[in-house]
Amino acid sequence: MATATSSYIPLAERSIWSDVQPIPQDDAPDALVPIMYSQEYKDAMDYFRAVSARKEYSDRALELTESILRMNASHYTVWGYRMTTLLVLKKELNEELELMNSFARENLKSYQVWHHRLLLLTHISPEHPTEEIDYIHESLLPDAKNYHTWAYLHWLYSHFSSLGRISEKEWSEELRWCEEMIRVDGRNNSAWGWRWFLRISRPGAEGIKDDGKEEIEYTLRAIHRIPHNVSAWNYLRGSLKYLKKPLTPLLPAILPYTEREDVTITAKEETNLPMPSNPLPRDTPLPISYALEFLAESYQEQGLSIEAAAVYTELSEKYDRMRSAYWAYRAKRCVV
Amino acid sequence: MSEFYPSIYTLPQVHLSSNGQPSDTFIEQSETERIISQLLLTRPPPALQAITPLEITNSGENGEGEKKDDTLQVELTKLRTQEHATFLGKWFFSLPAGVISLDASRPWLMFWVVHSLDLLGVILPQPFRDRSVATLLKFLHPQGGFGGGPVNTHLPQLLPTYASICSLAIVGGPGEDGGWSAVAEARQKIYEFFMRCKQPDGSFVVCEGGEVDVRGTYCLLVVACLLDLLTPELLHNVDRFISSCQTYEGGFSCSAYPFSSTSPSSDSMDKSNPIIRAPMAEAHGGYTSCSLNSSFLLRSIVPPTGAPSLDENFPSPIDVESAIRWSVLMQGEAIEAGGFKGRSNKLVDGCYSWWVGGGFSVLEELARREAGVERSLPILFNNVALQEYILVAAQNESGAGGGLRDKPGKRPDAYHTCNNLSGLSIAQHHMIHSSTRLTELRETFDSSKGLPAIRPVSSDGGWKSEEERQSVRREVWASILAWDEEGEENVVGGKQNRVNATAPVINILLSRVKPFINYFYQQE
Repeated sequence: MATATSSYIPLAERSIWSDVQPIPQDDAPDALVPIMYSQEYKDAMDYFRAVSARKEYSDRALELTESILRMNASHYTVWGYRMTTLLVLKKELNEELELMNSFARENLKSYQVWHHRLLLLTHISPEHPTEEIDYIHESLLPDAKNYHTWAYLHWLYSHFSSLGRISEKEWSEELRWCEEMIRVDGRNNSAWGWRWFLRISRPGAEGIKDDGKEEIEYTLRAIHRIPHNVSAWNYLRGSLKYLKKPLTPLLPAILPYTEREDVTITAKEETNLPMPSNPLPRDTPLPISYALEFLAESYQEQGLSIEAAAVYTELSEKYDRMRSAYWAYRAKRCVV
Repeated sequence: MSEFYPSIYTLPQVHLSSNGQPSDTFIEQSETERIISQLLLTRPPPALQAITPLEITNSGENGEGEKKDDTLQVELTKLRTQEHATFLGKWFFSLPAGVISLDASRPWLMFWVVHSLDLLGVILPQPFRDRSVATLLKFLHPQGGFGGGPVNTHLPQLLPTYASICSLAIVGGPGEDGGWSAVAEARQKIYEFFMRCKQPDGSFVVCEGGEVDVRGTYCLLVVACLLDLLTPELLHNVDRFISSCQTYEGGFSCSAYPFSSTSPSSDSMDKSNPIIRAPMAEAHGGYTSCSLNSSFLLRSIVPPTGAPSLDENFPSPIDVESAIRWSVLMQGEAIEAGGFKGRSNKLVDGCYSWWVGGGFSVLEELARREAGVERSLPILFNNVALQEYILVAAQNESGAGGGLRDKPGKRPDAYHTCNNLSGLSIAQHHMIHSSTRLTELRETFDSSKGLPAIRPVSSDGGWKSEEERQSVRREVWASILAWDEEGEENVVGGKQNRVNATAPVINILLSRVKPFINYFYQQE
């Protein structure tokens, strides 16, 4: 940045801007929270104010907005002006998309960069968003939990499936990609959230069609692979609740994590449930609080309030004391 | 009670188990546990290692506790108020070019600084208050709403509108240069700006041409409630949008997508709901805060007598118990010093002290209402551990320039300072929504007083009767003022660590909410 400043030619000295009178920022005298702008930023903004005040949509305005956004990718007003200019000038939006690839890499946490991209895709409206999907998959490799990127991927599939442009084959390829993400890092909760969209919450999702059997088995296998993984436990609870299915039939697959060999299972046992590995994965201390919670809820489901309360109390007093007050609350709730 | 809120120093330091699968998430988690637990070992120096939890002072009964007070221990867990005030002063008066990415967020810079000072009890001299007001009024757009900076540069946007209004509540006043009268004059324009942001599915874009997410909804609702701007057309579908952002985990995502009901696979959908909405990402602390607070405000609108202008089922429900469970599980273990995470399997970060910790007052109140009981619920998170995280892990090292941060090893900034201190306030003060006060307030409301009624944008967008409008005004006003502190303060590390009580939902001091909302509802 220091080198850029030393070779910097002020806009006032460039002939292309000679017809424009720059406008300074209208801050209060002695304004507080002032930012000590670099000369380059202040200069560019002075001309941006002039250009936008007279609604000039031009190539030089585009260049100006680009140089400002390279310095400050969070300037939503400048982004908006740039988008209007692109549309007024009927620019080739695919070129803008390529430019955005370089922006996104440097500004992964900027809301505006992702929103600009979303608007571009809406306007370009490709027959198949294949390239865009590949690009998003690729950009998740170095930053596998970037919230903006995942939200954008959700939007991409929602928008283009609403237009009828996502084929069954593409849905199943996306699911395979998602499963690969979970295979590489089973604790990636963003990938679990994506699975939920693909399998359960989107219109036409397949995961709810076989009474959730496939989802439940997939999730149980994930729990058995990484038994302390909160993402998989939450997904299991979420699916059962969504499908309004009881917890109790799954107990045989959960009980080994509760370290309670004494529990007798009264409910009908589900056959062919994926079972925990024997021996358990190394470094798997027991009991696991998520499993105890599962057991307690199963007791509640069976009307065994006292047993349920006892498990919650153990969580409160012994196994998960950080959340002592919460488990005590749960214990109290099941006996009143 | 203290057995329900154990100190991190009394809990075993248990690391996340690898299960023989050391994936990237596990590696990052282990590194964070290592950094924080080192700090826990080195903080109380060797001679003090074996001691006991950080001292807890209940302002009522502290006879024995104060006696074994160890000066060194107190020094180590002290809230370094003076250092933080100095740190905030730097952000207030001059910011380096390096923070250029916040150039469109100057109302936020202002809010983080003045609210943090308020929490710390640092009094801002009048000339600085006047300068703050003058600064903010330059951000008020003639077409309504506040921009991220002066209006000859920035378009109005919902987020800076919240930050500006809250800042004005803190630094401004009813006098000529206090800024409140300028805002009062701008009410209709602000409302029209809000309506320009409104989308048919109940969401709001943050500015014209901008993105949709629940931050916008939250910021808009706070301002609309404080300034007396609510109408049926503004509220239409907002509740449905918020509810549909709740994920299977119990927390809320940034947004939800409205699928048209005419999609080919609409056979599985609920016929009573014209559109299928799907959350647009996983549950997240920031969006959960915005959603829960929005949800609470929406629940504060309907008077006991009902509001016929609103949809029959307004406000649509959220799953309170699963939101509680998710929020509780966001609290890190003792080895992470009991701070909050923002998502499952992510790392603790001081900013969630407010985003997640600050949600509990609302959650406890919503759960109380669902249970249909009079008495307030107990505090459901570990408020002692959260204070310890903030004091021990989130404070910049003593003598290093002040400020609070994400976690050890990260640089402090105004945003993390404000969110940590706001979380500290919620952990020290047990805030409840008092039904007694609510009843009293409803009775004292004078419906003959008020600023001009908002003119709806569409001809049928207003309240069906003046009586209904008044009953909604009364309910909103009373509900916002019904927050109260219950019981003793619970201040970890000694009384000198006390910060002022912040109001749930809005996050400015309770003492700032009252004069401000009274000005806009013309109440006394």
